[in-house]
Amino acid sequence: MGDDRILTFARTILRVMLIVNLLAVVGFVIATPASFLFGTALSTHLIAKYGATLDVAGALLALRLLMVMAVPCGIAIDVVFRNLLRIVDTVREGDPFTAVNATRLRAIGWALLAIQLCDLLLGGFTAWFAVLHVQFSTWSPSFGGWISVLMAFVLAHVFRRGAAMRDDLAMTV
Amino acid sequence: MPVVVTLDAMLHERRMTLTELAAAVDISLANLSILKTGKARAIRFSTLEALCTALDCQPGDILHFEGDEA
Repeated sequence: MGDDRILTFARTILRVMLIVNLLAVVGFVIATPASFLFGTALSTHLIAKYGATLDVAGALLALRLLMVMAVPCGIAIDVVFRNLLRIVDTVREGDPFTAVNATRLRAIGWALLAIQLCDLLLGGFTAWFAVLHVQFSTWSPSFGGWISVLMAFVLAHVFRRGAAMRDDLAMTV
Repeated sequence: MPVVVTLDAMLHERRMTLTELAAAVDISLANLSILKTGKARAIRFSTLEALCTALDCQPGDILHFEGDEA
């Protein structure tokens, strides 16, 4: 069935992304203390790339703070993927309208909100790197992300009401 | 719940078993059992109609409102 294939595909994608995200979190956890261990080498590399006028201490601080910020962001992304995976599993099992899934959707909503806050911080980092004249990605506010936060909370309410209605219907003769 | 289902008494009066009633109204024995034991949260008009037809009674004969007396 088409729906089954879509769910299997979604499940596979989510599992892969979950692992990739976890690896990234572990990478940042290792990279942050490593940046202190290899501080001299990192400074040399930065000076070689941007010249002696670069505020190396500032650039290193920005890099380290960015890596530290990436960890809670990664945890929030993990919360989204894990809960979404569990919701997909309940759809496959044929019983998605449950209070537990409503709670999961609300958790996703909070995690998405955390990701959006991380995104705002990323905007701050972009400005900081621009001041330091260090190459960094461009940034623009993610309106879609904020809408997804709202959608997750609204859907959580819909699921909660749906689950209550289904429970009522289950005891209707 | 203030509304009490007295299906048991009506079945006794009509000398009918729950299984016979289930067959007559085409409702599963499990669902009728839920109704009989007072576990149901709601009853459809179609179910009520079928029960009243099979038992030859009025809705008030199988449903009683006890209010504060309960």
